[in-house]
Amino acid sequence: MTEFCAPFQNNESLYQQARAFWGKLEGISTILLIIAVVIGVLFAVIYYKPYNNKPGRHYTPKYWVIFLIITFVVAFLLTLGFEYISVAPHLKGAMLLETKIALGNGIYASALYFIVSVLWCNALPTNAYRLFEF
Amino acid sequence: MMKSITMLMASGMSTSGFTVVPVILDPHLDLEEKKNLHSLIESYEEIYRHSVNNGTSTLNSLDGFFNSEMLTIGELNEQLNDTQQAAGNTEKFRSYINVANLGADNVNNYFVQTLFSNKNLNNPLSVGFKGNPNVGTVVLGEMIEGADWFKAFKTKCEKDDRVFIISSIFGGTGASGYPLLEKKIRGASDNPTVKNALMGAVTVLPYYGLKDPTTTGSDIDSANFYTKTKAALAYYQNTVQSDYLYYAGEKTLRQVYENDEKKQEDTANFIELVAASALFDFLKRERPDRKQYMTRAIDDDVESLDLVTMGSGYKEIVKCVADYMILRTFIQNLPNEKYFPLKKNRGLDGGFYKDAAFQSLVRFTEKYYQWYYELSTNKRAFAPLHYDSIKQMDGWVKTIDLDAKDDSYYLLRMIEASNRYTKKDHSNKFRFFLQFAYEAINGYTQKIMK
Repeated sequence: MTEFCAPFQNNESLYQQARAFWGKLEGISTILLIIAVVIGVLFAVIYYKPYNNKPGRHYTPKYWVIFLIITFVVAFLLTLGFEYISVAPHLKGAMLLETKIALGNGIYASALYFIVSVLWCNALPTNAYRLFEF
Repeated sequence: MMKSITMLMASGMSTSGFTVVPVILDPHLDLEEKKNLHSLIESYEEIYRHSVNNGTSTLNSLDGFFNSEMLTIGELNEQLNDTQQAAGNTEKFRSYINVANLGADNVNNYFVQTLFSNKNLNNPLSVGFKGNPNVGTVVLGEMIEGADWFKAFKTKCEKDDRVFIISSIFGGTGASGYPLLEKKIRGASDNPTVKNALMGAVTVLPYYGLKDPTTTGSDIDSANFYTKTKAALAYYQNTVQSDYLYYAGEKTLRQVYENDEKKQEDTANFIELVAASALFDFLKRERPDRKQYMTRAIDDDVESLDLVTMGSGYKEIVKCVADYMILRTFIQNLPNEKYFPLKKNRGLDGGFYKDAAFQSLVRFTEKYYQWYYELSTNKRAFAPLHYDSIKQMDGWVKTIDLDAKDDSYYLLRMIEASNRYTKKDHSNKFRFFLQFAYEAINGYTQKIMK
């Protein structure tokens, strides 16, 4: 918060707005985390079950990577959209902050997609190639 | 015909639980085609053995590809070879019937001169009877009775075993051998099991011709095929003792081959396929009250046959051939499929594809492809398949749209079949391959049978 609010310390009104903005972002952080979890798990489930129940050699790593990218992009866009609607970025640097958070959420979702993939490859039924089976 | 039988068995045609024990009677020892047939049968046996091998024990036969056991009479009797050597020797026919011992004025000498030409008398027995059943009838009887394989057959033949005789009616060996063989079996009074065995036979009427023998110096003249056929049929009418007798043939000699009796490089023909199907029909049937004479027709008299022009009676054959040709795509492409799930799930990895079992299958499949290619380009052509691209497979069986648009549909079904199979009864990777491939292919090609 300090880093984001610091540039507004000379203007009390803007400083308070910045603090409020930060506070609202903190308020939706649980929802942002849920977005990352849902997207990461959802796309892993879709990849390992319905998508690989269809023909087209979907079991190859190429499609796993495509789903990883989709997971990242969807998590990023959903996060950014949700942030924009919930906490409008009127202040200078607010949009950049929301974009950074959305990027981070995209990475979390991708990491979750990977973790679920590892679990799936080792324990659950699928028609996909078990790329991460140990 | 035996080649077609082997190919159909490989494709999944059922022998109704019977083990097929082929006995090939051909005195023509050097014939390449005969050697190739022996090699094909050995390949089949090898693949079958791999499919049922479970270390120290043996598994049940698979459903689908290579589902029936084939054994040579030699293996059954634990001999090293079977009919290969015993059926022919280099002795001349003249010497075999001892013509030299007959005086010039002996009435038997005149009788021999009437029945046999000089060429007949001077032919070595090792080259076959060259379309002369009059020679075959004299020689084969003794060849059968004295042969080790016939003794082995009589010893090994058990209750409920069946006998099926395949022959052509327009040549020498087959035309003369069939009634003789039948007589030997029905006359085995010392062995009631053999004598009373349910017996079937298919005899092939003329379906190909040979080029003019005067230009090639051959002893075989296909102009006589119909005359010989009529004579043989007249003889068979009152003498055949089979419970089922199947006839297969063409109305005209559609294909003309080179008249080279040494090579006899005749390509696979639709009539042989039809004749081969008689065996599978026979094995399904019960003992009849009286002799049954069987034949089968095609719906349309066209040069190139597909599922519709052949008629519904041929669906099973078309399905089997389609199944194997689809299996061929697996055999060609799966070794290059780096991330095929069964590589991890069932161990179908690089080592598996280099292993003896899979390599035997590769070699067999090359022969299978050649066989189908010959059938599909011969006259008349058996060509019910398009088999060009694995990217467009819905039209692989002409006149039917299969639901599998490309090979990935089959591969997915193969993966699903593997996932469904949770039994831990064996770890035979080759068996897994054949089993799951058949389940995958059959799931789509069942449509042919509707």
